[in-house]
Amino acid sequence: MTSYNKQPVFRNLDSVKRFMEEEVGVGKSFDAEYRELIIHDTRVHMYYVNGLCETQVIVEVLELLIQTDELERSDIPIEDLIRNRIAHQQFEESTDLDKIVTDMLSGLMAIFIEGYDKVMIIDVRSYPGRGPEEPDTERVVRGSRDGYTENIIENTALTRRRIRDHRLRNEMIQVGNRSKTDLCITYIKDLADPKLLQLVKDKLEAIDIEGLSMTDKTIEEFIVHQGFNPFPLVRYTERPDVASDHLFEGHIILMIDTSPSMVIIPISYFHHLQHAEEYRQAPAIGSFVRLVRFIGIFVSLFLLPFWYLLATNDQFLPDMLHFIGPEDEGNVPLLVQIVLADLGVEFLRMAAIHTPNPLSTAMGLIAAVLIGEIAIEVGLFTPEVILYVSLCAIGTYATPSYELSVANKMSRLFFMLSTALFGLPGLVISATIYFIGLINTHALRVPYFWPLIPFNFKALLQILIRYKMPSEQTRPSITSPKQRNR
Amino acid sequence: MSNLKLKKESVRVLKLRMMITGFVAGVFLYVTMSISNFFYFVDASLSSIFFEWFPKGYQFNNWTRESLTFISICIVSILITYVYYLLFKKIYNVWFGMIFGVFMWLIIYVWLLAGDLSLNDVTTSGCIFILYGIFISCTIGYDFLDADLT
Repeated sequence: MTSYNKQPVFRNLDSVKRFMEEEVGVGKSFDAEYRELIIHDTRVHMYYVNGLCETQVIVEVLELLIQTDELERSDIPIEDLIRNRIAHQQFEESTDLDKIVTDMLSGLMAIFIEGYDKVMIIDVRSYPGRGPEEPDTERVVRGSRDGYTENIIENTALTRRRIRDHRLRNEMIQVGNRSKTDLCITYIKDLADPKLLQLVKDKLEAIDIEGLSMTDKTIEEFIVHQGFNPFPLVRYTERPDVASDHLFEGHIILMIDTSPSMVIIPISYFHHLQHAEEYRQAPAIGSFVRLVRFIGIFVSLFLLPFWYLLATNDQFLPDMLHFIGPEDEGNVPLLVQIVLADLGVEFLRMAAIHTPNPLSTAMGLIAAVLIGEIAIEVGLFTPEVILYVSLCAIGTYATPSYELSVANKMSRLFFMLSTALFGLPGLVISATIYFIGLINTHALRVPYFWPLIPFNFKALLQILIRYKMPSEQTRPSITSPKQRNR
Repeated sequence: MSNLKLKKESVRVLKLRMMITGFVAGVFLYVTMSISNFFYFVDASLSSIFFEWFPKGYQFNNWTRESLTFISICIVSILITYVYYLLFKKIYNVWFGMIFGVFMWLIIYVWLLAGDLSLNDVTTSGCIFILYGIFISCTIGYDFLDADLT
């Protein structure tokens, strides 16, 4: 990465022009441009990038500068005159050529004055993008429908609107050698754990990577050392209300430019099982929804291997469950049927993502008819296999966090294989390994399976049952908040 | 002066939390062993182990046996947790919890039952007790760690 730190800002505008043409490509790239004005016989050059700037604002600034030439006295130094006449609220002066070039390429305008050793920078940015829309993966039936966008300034605005506390902090750093992506660390000053904050900042500043095209995912991999652990160690959200709720609990949020997903740390397994929907209904209904969701997740993990064990080993079936297990085995062994059905569900999922919208209805019909009726009639599947595989698939989609549902799918495969190979000891030992793996995971000094193991009765009760808002008196302790009571 | 007061409070809170942990661990043990017994994963349920140790004169019906087992398992679990708290509260290590669980299994299952055990029985009950041990050890270790920091 080239650094221009050794070079002072040129006072001669021709040298500036040559520098800009060689290094930045002004003249070669059609969108890197400059404008020359002559004010009181001094040349003034303005460099900007077309497309990232707001033309109207630039035109107003130019208007006022042109008026300066005609109307104002010429005995005041030109830089003081211009500084007082620039009609914009965000104004900065700099001698750091690195910063000037980066800012110009981010959409700010750089003003060079002949003979003056500092450069004036005005923030005239206007990034193209969409307005706040409800995110696809986090829908609620009732409640606010705004979501984060790709513009980091808008995102911080959406958050500040919900937290007007003066202790909210948005610290901005830049990550990536070539991309220089803006990254904002958001936290509430007297709630977040200062040690964790320092740890996160150190890790972010140590990142040495070219670019952050996959934004949040790349940052996540640098902060929590994932290794071969398939479980998501951070939580993503695209809703400002969810993010502000986590900020109140003492979590830290990372906002990355060009990505609407916010990274929430520190996180435990049970944070992945919460959804905004539960808080939009009455407490009893929210608790009911939550318990049903837990059952769904449990089903998606253990039902299929458990059923397979009972279907193939008759000695485990108690009397009242004697109907479990297919009547006639069919032509294909049970394990192969299960594997094929699981593969089929995976294909369905990929097809749903890659199919353009107009075709999706037709494809859905084909899939349902194919897998359901015809597979049974041909003799490939028994109805029971299809029933249990679809129950597992539905349980997978009931998981609020997409990353967790994929990780659970991997775990279910692991259970399935070990049950098929080793029978009951396989299932029990693989389940124990799964739990031990979860318990041993630590994301940023927080045990992953808190509050189940290590056990915290109050916090677990708050997770199982949706308390009514007036009685939520304390914050969960894994964020080590400096203030326990709300 | 206020420092001393804080320390007494936190120790009392720790002891209360420890008792709740012991109780819940006992419930977990009872529920999982009962489910395993329902599906014939283990040869002998907890109630039969418990009542083997009991004088054989009394004949109870099923509900009484189960509830007595449940209550006594919870009490025994609280006692075990208290002993663990006194001896090992400073250790916060998953592997130590596993060893503790295996040790508990050896005592409660193997020594008291002393019959022949099938592979299914050994693995199922062994894993349940391992999770039980990890539950107790991780909870007490983490609570102690947490309280020490604040």
